[in-house]
Amino acid sequence: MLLLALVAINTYISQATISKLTALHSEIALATNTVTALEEMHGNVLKAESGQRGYLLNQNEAYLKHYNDAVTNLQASLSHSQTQHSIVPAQARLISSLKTLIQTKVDELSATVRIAQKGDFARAVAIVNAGDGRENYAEIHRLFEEIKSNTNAIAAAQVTKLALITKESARNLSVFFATSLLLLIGLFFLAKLNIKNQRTRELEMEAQNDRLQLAVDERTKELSLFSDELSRSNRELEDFAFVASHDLQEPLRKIMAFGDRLETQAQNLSDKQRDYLYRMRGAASRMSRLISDLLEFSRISTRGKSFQTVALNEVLQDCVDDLNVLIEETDVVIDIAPLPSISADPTQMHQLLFNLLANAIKFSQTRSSPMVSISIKPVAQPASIEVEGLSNWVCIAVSDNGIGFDQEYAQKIFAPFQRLHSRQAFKGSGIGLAICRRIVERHNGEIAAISEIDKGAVFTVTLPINNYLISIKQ
Amino acid sequence: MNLPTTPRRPFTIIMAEDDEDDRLLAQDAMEACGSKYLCHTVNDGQELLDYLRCQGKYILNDISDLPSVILLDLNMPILDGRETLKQLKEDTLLCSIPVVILSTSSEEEDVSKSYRLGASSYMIKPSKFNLLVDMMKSFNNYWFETATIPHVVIDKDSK
Repeated sequence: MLLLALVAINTYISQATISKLTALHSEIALATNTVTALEEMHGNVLKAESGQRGYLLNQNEAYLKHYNDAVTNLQASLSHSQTQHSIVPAQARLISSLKTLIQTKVDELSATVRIAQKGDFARAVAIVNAGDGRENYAEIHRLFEEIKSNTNAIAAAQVTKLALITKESARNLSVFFATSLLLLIGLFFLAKLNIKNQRTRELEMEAQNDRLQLAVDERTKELSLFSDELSRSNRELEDFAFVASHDLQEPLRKIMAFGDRLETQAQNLSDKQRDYLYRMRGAASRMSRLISDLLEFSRISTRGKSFQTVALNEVLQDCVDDLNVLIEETDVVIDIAPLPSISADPTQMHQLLFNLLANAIKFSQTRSSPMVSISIKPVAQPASIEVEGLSNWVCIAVSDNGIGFDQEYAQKIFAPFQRLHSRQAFKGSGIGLAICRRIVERHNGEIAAISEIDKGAVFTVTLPINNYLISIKQ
Repeated sequence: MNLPTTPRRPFTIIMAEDDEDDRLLAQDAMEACGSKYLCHTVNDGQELLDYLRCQGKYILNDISDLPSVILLDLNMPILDGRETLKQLKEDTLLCSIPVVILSTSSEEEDVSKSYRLGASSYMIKPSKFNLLVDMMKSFNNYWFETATIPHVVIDKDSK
């Protein structure tokens, strides 16, 4: 903006100076022309007069030629001079007076010449000698000189003015140059300042970034420390569970073994005593089972294998084979739909399907015609699962027509050692479904149960088909 | 072919087991299955090596015949079964005696490592006594009736 304004002002000043110079030039030319015209007129006046005198004195017509030429020139000059004007009003007035005087002179000369041409030379000479003409010429001469000197004075003044303007324009140019230079310097500094500001901002941003990075690093460090701590305590807990269950098994095994010894060796035990012994050994064996289940539960994540392609139908067939005795005993009808192959831990898939199948048979065996069916349907990723990159999902449903349970226990049944029925009614430690849930969670999936008392139960397992193991430090 | 009708020598068993209960149960089971073989017991791996090499507290032992089969527990104090097995198999004389592991561990790692170290068999201690009796019966049957094992004699001059 400032730059534009300065350029505009400089342009305007230059323009004004140029027009001023042009005007002065024409004025000076005008003055020069005026002087030239006046000198010419002066010459013609003298020429006309001398012609007139010559004619009057010599009475020779030849002199009239000069006279006539001069008069013609004068008339032309007068009419021409009429258009001439001076910028100075006083000068214009003087010129006008001069013209009147010259006209008078020409009139007088013409009058005398006309008289002489009529032959009255004596009268013409008398008129000339009367001195009017001389006085008139003197007046003309004076006026002429005045105008000339005035004009010269004006011209001189104009020249002075011209010099002044030239000087002024030179000064203007210097000013223009100086302002432009200042402007350039100003621009340079502005640019430099801008660059400096930019650099400062960049540095600030870098510093800010560094601070942020530092904060992130610190937080990451804290988190990884926390995570290390967590996985260590997890590991310690699992080690503890392993060692504890292993060491707890030892005395139990002795209790059972010596119980056996006592039973075989004691000859005189009463029925009641035998019953006590039986109950004692039963309790020990249940505890042994609980411990081994707990051990199995704790090993799902620690002893899990990496994922590979598992044909679920083959796994399920293995489970059916394993459960063959129970299936024949209970006369259960098992319907298995074609299942896909998924990436999973094969052993754990066997454990999962075995537990679900055994569970379904166990709770439907009291029915007159027990039935278990395994079906699938493709599903979308469950909203509760936040693992990325798993596109294809399958939902496996294990349905039975067994005794079912109240829907309010649908979550509780997946907790370790949770039982809805007495040990006498249904066998089992109550770890099966907890193991199922742990396996499904390790496979990034979801397990749920829907049931109603006496209306059977449906267990649904939602698993990714192309799965990957989330690497968490164990 | 030269089929032996009677044992060429009395077969003996040495059992390394830190748990006194297990030692008792094993002895009982041997007895219950009608074993006619002598079963000596030691408390840990180091004692086993001392016994076999007649050193330490067995320095005054005067045995010329080494035990026919070694029954070895894995988890023991002082020198555990794995290290004992390793040392046995590194010993030019003792390495030919069959070692049978008798442990509570059903860990795949323990099983495979034992065989890798040169164990001849691996048995898991059962929780029921009658199963232990059955186990001892088949153990005797296999090693002393079915299989042929070397007769390892201590070369006293080389000691």
